[in-house]
Amino acid sequence: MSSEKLVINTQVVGNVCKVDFIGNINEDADFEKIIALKMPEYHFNFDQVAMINSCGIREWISLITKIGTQATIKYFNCRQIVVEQINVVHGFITDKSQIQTFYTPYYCDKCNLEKQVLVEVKSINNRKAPAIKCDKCSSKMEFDAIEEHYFSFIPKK
Amino acid sequence: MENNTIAKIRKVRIPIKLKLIAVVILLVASSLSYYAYFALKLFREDKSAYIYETGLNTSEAIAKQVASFLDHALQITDYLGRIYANTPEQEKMAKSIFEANKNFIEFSIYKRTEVDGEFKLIFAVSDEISLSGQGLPVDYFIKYSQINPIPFLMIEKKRRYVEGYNPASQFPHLVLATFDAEKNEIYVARVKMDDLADLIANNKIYEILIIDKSGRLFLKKNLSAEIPQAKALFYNSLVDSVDRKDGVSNYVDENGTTFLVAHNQISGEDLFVFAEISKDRAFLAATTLMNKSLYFGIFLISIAIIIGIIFSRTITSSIEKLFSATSTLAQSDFKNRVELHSHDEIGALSDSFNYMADEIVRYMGQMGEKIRLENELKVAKLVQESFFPANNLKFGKLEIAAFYEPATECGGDWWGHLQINGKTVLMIADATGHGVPAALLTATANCSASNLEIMAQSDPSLLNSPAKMMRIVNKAVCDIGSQILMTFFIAVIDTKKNELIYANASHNHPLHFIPGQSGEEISKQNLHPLMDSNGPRLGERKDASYNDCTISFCSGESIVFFTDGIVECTNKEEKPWGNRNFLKSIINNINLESDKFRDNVVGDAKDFFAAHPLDDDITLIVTKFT
Repeated sequence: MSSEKLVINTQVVGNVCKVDFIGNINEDADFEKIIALKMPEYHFNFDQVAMINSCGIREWISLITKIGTQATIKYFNCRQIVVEQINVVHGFITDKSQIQTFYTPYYCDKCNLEKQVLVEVKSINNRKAPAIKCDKCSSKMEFDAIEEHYFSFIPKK
Repeated sequence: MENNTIAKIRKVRIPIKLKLIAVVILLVASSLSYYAYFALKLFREDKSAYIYETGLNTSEAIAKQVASFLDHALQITDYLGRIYANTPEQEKMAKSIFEANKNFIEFSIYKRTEVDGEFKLIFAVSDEISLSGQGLPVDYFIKYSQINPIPFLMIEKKRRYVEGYNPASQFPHLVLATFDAEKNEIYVARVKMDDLADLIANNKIYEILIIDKSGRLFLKKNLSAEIPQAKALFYNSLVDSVDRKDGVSNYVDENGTTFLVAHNQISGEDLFVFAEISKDRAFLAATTLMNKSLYFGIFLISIAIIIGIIFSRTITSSIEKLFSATSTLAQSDFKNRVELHSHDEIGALSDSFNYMADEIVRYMGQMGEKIRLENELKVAKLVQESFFPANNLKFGKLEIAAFYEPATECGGDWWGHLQINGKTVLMIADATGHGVPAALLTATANCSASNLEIMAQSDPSLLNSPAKMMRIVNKAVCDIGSQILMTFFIAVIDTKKNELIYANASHNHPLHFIPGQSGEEISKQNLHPLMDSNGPRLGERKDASYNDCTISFCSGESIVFFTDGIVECTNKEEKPWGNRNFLKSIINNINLESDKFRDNVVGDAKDFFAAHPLDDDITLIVTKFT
């Protein structure tokens, strides 16, 4: 995963703008390219986001404020750091935003192994983490966050 | 810390100037010497060959000329003899031939007598004019012959005879004789030596000497001067040992003077021409060249010295200027600059020095400014530290243990509390970024807290709505107009009602620890984030709205308030402590006293960071309900 300055790649397919974020979302992040497209729907891919800091959050909220009211934004492959910001920072997502897929963190105490599992939002029930086995020892991996906190962005069914 | 060291500058023993001069001289002198040695050696060898060859050629040429002269003279002698005694007419002819040959002084005929077999003079004619010119009588040679007899037997044997200079003669002459076996007559001619003497004397370079095989002198330039005995012996030895007709030898006289002697045998005679020349004279040209080369070499070396001195001065004066400049710079005179106009490394060095001096001045200015800023930061730190309450507090059943550490002198975290009407208002904030800009915002937070206290005292209902308080603080932050935002969490704790009302402006959700059943293992399940209230960060917009949320608590429960620094700070491997370690540390220490709980969690975090500097400010507040 890249840890350099944020690179934004966009691809317009019909009415949808697919946006890949690569690198660090910080004070140097420039989202003008996205704003200028003025698309009705955006698909944000966070798979290669390395870090997001408080200055980056400020830039992000500015972006969402400008496009969030008009456009539908779908979030894909949200890394753990993005999920944590979604949960804490008011305005990180809007009412028109939809989290589609995100990573869930797991940890094996025996093997000292970490694992990030990509899941669909709709697969999460009652804000409970799915059971995952360790690839090395096959024992049940511990969900590496507080469930009710980590899945708080998912509306209760 | 003052620098008390004294510059240890070595003493100059051998100046560069001297070294340069020495190099130049050495170079020039060695080159000249080397060249001169080999050139002159070659010249001398070539000259030697030339001299030797010239000597040989000279002796050979003279030998040929002498041979030619003698042959001619002997032919005339023989002819005169053969025709002279026959008839009066032939006698007359012979006389005229005699007279025509100006070289002939006397001609005589000797006939062997039948009586005793001796040769008797039967005829003689002489050059009366030449004789009288010398003051000698006409019959001088007749009488001379009586004293210096003619070697008839030798002449008869050898058929021809040549005799050279005889010091007994008052008229230096050569004796030439031939023998006519038919007539038993010997014809003797006495010939002037003038032509041969001129031939020898005309050679200005070589000293020509003609001697016979017996070592007797035949002819030489200065007949009156005697040949030194040693030289005479040398020539005799040469004549004796000669088995070659020609050659060149060396002879050293009693004065140590070396002579080159070339010899050549005169064809048909037992006579040898010796051409000698002193070696010094022969090699005069080479010697002159050597001397002139030496003088010229000294002249060149002198020029080299002068050039070396001038050249070295141009270099060393520049170096001395640079040295002087570094010395004044070391004595804190930073205004001094070096002005050099040369376009070489020394000129470039002077530019480097000047640049270095400029950089030092600029750096000192920056350092001065840096020190000033650091001093101001220290003051700012002191001021900011006054914004924070004591770390260990107790209000009735509520224990508060806090920890705060900024990443730099001033931080963007802040926490505070108010005690109003028996309620505790706990606030924690985190400004965007860290450092002085974020620290200035904490001043606003602190100031706002003071204002809230005043406002709550006059309007206690404010304590029922942290959301309302949040809006007040938000307005204050928005009014600053900076781009720096702030997360903020306000909790109003009522230990009488065991109630906590909170409002959140996008701050990290505090963790409410609720113990499980007795004996039950504590896990993450016991930690409940206070996440039901959330609003925009302070400073985002003036019309932001916040909501209140109420929870109840019991004795034994705790709430951990924190900023994201404790989770996000990294170790030297750039790895953050992370949520897992944070939660684990909380779980491990949750049952401890609040201060110990705080110390242990902070200790676990710092153990992880090790000596790595903090990336962000750290704030941790542990509240325990006893």
